[in-house]
Amino acid sequence: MLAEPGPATSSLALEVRHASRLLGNRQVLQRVSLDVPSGALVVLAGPNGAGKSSLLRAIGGRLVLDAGTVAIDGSDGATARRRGRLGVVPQDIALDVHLTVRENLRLWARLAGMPAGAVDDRLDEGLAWAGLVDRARSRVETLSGGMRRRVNLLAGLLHRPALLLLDEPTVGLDRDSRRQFHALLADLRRQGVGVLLATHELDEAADGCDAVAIMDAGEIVACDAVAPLLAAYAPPEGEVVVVLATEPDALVAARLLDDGFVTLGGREWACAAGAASGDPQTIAQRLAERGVSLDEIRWRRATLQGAVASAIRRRREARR
Amino acid sequence: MRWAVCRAQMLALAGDAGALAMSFVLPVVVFLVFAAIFASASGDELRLSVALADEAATPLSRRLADALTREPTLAVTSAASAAAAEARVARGDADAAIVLRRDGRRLDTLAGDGPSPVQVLTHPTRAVAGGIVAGAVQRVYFAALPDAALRGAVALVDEVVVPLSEDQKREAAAALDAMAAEAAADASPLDAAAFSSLVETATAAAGAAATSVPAYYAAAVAALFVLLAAVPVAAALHDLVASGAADRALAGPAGLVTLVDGRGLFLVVQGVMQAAVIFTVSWARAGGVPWATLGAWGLIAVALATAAAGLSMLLAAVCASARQALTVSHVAILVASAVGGSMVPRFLMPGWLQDLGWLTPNAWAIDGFAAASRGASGWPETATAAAVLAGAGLAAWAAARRLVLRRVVL
Repeated sequence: MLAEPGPATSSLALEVRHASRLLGNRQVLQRVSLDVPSGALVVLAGPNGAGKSSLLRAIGGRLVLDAGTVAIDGSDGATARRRGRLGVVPQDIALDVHLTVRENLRLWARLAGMPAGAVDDRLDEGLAWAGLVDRARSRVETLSGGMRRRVNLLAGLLHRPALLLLDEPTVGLDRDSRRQFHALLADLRRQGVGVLLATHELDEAADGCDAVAIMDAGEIVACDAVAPLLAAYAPPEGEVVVVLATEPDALVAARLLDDGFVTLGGREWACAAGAASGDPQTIAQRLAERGVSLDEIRWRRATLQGAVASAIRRRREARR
Repeated sequence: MRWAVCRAQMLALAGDAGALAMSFVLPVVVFLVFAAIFASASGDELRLSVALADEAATPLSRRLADALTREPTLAVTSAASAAAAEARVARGDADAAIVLRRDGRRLDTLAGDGPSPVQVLTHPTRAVAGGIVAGAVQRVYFAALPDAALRGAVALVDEVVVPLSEDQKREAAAALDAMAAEAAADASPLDAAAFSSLVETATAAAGAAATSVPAYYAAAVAALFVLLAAVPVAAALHDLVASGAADRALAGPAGLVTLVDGRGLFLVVQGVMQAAVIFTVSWARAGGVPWATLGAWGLIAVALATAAAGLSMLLAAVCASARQALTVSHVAILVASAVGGSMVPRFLMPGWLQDLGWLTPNAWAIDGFAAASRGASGWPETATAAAVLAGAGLAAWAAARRLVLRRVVL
């Protein structure tokens, strides 16, 4: 286990208030307010373009807000960043593949403001925590995807931040690697680190998370613990999941959205089961008439992913 | 923190054999090739291939032809006619042709009507050979046919300056006949003859000849490769954004600027090391390190590396992607190197192109290294070149920082 984090000076690792930003002619953030208590894991959910990455960038200092505030560990965002209270784990592997694990981690520890003399001990500790001791002197290019993800995670937290931002950190990992990664996150929470995780892999991330913030069109649509969200939004009769024959183009995607579907990523789309949408056979026939051919259609019980889709659909309908 | 980034870049370079070879081995190889080519082209090893047609077939023309075949800077082969000689030049079998004309003036007349007695033919692609061969012909003429030259001079004096009496003319003719007989019988080296002392070539910086030629090409090659090696590192600034490294850096106390500065610092270190490697080979060829001027050399090397760092990062920051940055930068560097003298010495270029060369870091670097090698006497030029290179580099570096920040922080 990684030794104790830097002492949290606030019970809230993150406090975002009324954050807004117009980028070009698009409102990427619209009066977003969100808290991440110290030691809590909050999952950011929503379709592509919902504003998840924009929110993470605003917290990380890459997106300047038109209005609103960001406080990290009780300090304003800029001060907290200067003090090294924030850690970031980007979606891509932000490492130099020509360097060894140790060399990469040393670089990021120094950039996070750690004094050179303190780096080695922390490195040894971190490598042991992430199960990477044997590969410390291996070049990153020789590591498996899961190992790279763990090094990427370590690079964001060796300096013991109060808040850790993760943007799709498990993309491309197999199920075992994802579980291993989430176990590390759980360990961090026990150490008091606040974690804000943006992901599409909701059902895995939901295990043990404290809250899920659902975003759409730059807004927080809903934010609550998993159980209340399921109760409020999950379709009681489950969901119908379709797997398209090909990747949908813009026209097909628009037709699916019109028909009440939400994307689950790639060729998988889902809609609420029940009288309103019809049985699977009716749905398949209706889609075929609209020029959408399917590989597979199935029913499944309500999931967090379904609840998120339902919440977004309801908000969009309310906007109309 | 900047040193941490610089150190990481150095470690990455050390682990990349391809990049190491491109940065440190290829420049040395190119330098050795350039130095070999241009050192021989400007020295006694030059040997132009010449087709010689003696259409005049007079005793004087035969003497001149014989003397030309003994000229060490020319490889003379005889041609049956002017047309045959011209055909050889056209085919590329000879660099130039010398025609001793049948219808030209006599070889012992210095003035008068009618075509010149000697014609030099060149191909447009080897025009420079014409001047060299013409110079060689005049030198050989005055060295091997001094009696002919003097006979022309006597006639000119009689006609233009002061009329000679018949006795004087007879005496002069007798003396010149004796000189002709002596010259014809003398197979000694040409430079022993009468007019050979008229022109003497010597190196302006006595003793520096052995070092100056390789040093010029070391400077030219160093300027080219310091710039080229900076391109991939600078273009990788785009990868910082794509990989999320920019997000991570912005979220910490280092900020994004540290990543830019760290790379710039690395490029300065890499550039100085590259220049050191190239010049070390150059100095080894020349017989040793010029310790007395090493400080001035270092100043120019740091200034050049700073210019390479700043300019390459600015080009990368202006471009929309790493791929575009690589393409644009490589084209810009090749053009700058051609105009700035890294490929062909600038004194061979037309005046307007030489002036244009001052807009390139290559020209300032080459000029700066040359001035640095002169020690104290070259200090004003060394300082100017260093100021221009470092100033341009730092200004570009600052602009690159601003552009990268503007691109990343929205």
